[in-house]
Amino acid sequence: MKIKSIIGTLVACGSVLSFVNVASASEPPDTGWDQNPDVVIGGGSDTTYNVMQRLEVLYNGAPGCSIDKGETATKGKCIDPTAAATGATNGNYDHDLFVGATPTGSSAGVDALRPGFNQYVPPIDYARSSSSGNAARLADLTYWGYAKDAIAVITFGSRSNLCVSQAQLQGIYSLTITNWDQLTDCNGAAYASAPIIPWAMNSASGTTASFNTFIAPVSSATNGRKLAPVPPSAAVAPFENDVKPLLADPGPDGVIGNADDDENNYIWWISYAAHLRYPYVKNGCSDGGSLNITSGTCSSGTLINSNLAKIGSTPGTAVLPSATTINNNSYPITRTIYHVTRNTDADCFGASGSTCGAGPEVVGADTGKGGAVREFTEWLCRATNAQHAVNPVTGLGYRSEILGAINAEGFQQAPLTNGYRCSVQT
Amino acid sequence: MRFKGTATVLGAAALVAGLSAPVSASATILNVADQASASSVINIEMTNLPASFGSVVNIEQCWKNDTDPTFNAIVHCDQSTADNQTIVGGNATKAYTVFNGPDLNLGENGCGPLFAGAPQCWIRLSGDSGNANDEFYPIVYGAVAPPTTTTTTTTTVVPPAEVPEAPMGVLLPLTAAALIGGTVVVSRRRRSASAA
Repeated sequence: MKIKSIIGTLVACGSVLSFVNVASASEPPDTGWDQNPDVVIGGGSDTTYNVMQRLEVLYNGAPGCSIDKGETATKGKCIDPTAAATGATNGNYDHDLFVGATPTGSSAGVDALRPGFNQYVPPIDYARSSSSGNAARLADLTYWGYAKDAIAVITFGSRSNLCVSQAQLQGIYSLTITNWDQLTDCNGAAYASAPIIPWAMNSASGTTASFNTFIAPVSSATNGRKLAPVPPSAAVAPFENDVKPLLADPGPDGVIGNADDDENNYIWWISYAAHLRYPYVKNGCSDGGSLNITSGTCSSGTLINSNLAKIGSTPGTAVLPSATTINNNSYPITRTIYHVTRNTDADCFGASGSTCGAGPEVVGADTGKGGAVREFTEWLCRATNAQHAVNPVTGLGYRSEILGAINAEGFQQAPLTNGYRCSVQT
Repeated sequence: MRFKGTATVLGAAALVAGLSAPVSASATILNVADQASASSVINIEMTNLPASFGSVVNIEQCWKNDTDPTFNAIVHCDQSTADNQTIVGGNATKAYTVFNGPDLNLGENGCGPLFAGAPQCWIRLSGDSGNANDEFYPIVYGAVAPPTTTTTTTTTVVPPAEVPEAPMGVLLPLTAAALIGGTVVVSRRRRSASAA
């Protein structure tokens, strides 16, 4: 029986080894694999929550080691903790589990990884950010920019075809431009007189940070409208990427449906990716009505659609956000979205100060959650299908799968930079 | 889903392979794409766009359309070259750059005469409601006449100086030598159909 068992095991190993996707010769000798599946939690940005969930699901299902499926104390672990690989080493060898915590905003997420800052509940191991790092954060963290987005400026309802410049947006949010008749549509026609109502956004949001960078030194926090307070809470700025709270807001006078909450006078901004893919976050019903996304009707109030504005110094040069204008950088408010790691967990290969060596290798922790983060990061930033394993269910290479996930959420993949399909800030 | 199986290509054009019947109710592609070039610009005129499209019409190039039951816009359209245009009064026009050959996102799919098998390329128009009301128009590739160059040379001959008979000589008229060594006139004969 023992001989049969040994033979059976050898046959099984031979079968498994026939599917081994041997790591390339350029792989570093140390990896983050430790043959133990870790549960790894991410948190932070709302804008990138959906796309990161898609990527986490893809990674969780990626091929890896042969696991113990028996009724043993090691059920679910790699079956043979020796040096010989028993499965694809460019997939998810340890079968680590990645999961995203509910959003709190980019700043709150990335700072949770840093010493001296409040952690998430439960604690997170990597972060999502829709804005780039600053010097203080980069001392502790590495930002892996895996996709691109734009900040779309939007108007509402009957107000459409707006062409607006950076200077005019600064004027709107500094209250030097207060009436729609000071602005024109893209045909050059002035709008009828009506007060402009500029809205603020959650200050921890990377989407806010990106917009404020564009209108600097003006800040949307100074004069942007906040949601009517719900006692005992104070007024708060709306969370990003959902217009429904704005449309439901009664305005400062607390009365729904009069001049100070006329949605046609609102102006705001939103992730272009969200605007492109999700009608339910960019459209809504006035005055507290509920939108039926299937029928496109409101339980009460009026259906209010948001409308993309063109940005540029003149109507003739203003452009809409789109994949084309993001990728050729002709749209002026673009941004990169990031997967963020502790430097000790994952950093670019051969990093010297803020300069990376050539990818796609990622260096960092060898074991545990840190090692898991390291391997996920390298998976995310590999440039080609040849560098990736094949999805055992779809037959597609994981570069195709990652691209599909990014595009499905309305983003564009990052350009190839120094061997990484990520723009790395370190 | 609405499938527009044909597209009208207007304007004078060289012989075009695959030019099909008129006319689409919602979009007209005004010129052919260059069958020999990896990218070219086509002009799309869109009318009567449905209100459900919202404030912009989204424009993508695809290598399948939705008559194929496996069609998936994310997988079968190039997401990196998608573009859009504001809809005003149900109308929009767009000069849209199309590729011919491998897609520009990952380069593993493609369409047009320069891609293996020359699969048909499609323009997909869509709006706010996602896939429910998208429309497809075939991209027509054909020979696009290159710009024509015409060369004209003009030479002015200066007569020889007059030799005075008198020994004292006379002041010779100075003739400014307006010798034009050659004038090259290049004219472009533009295709009327390619005017944007």
